Amino acid sequence: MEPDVVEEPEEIVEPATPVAGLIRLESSDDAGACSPDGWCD
Amino acid sequence: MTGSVFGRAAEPILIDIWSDVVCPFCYLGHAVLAEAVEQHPHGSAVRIRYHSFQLNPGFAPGEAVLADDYLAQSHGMPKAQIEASHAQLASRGAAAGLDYQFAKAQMVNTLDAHRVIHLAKAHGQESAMVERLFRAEFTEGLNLADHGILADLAAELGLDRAEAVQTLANKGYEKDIRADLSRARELGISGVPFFVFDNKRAVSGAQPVELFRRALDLAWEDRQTQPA
Repeated sequence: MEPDVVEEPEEIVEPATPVAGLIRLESSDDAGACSPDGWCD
Repeated sequence: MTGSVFGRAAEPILIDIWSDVVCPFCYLGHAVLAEAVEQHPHGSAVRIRYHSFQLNPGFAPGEAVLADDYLAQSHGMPKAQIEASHAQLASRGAAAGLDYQFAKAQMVNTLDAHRVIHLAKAHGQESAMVERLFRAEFTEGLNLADHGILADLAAELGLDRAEAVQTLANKGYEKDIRADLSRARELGISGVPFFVFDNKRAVSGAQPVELFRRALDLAWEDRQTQPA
């Protein structure tokens, strides 16, 4: 019997921080970077 | 510190950088990192490797539009906001010795520019090529999708122009570029410039010189405390 509600598969979210055990050094200043959609801020 | 140059202390500090030649913050980050390396007491023991990253991989190959027009059209950014943003970045750039001429900068698909960088890398001219392409983009407003211009810039650095033309015509270094992009995805890089020091610490964005100095200090300290 078919279920009434089909659950959507969970969206795969890219990690916000690097994987592979990298330690991220942060600064309180606004550094500025560009993202793959061409947006820079 | 003993001053020993054996083991890890004898190895260069390795800095891997993901960037794109149409990324204004990458140009700034490149300059600020260079300043930090120059100031660092062990700056001569640094090895930099550039990796390809594309801001607009879907941009039509061979085409070029003014970057300002691209921003206005693709992101709906008002001209006044673009100009204010550029003025702020130009000011930061000037402090780092860069001459941003945003009104002339052109948006292109940078795949071919990355081929030329990889060609330069094969001839030990990687950093010089990256720097030359940044200046061509942001100061001179050259079209970095034009094969003739890319070949001229390669020749300017002493590379064989004919080899550059052939590399571009044959879509050379495709595998290397794809490997760079794939590694960026593995690392979860969501923006550039992105710097990795000794495969251990990461710096994202055009950070202040102090943060790059700190990253260099930590990498050097590791050499004194960890065995080879």
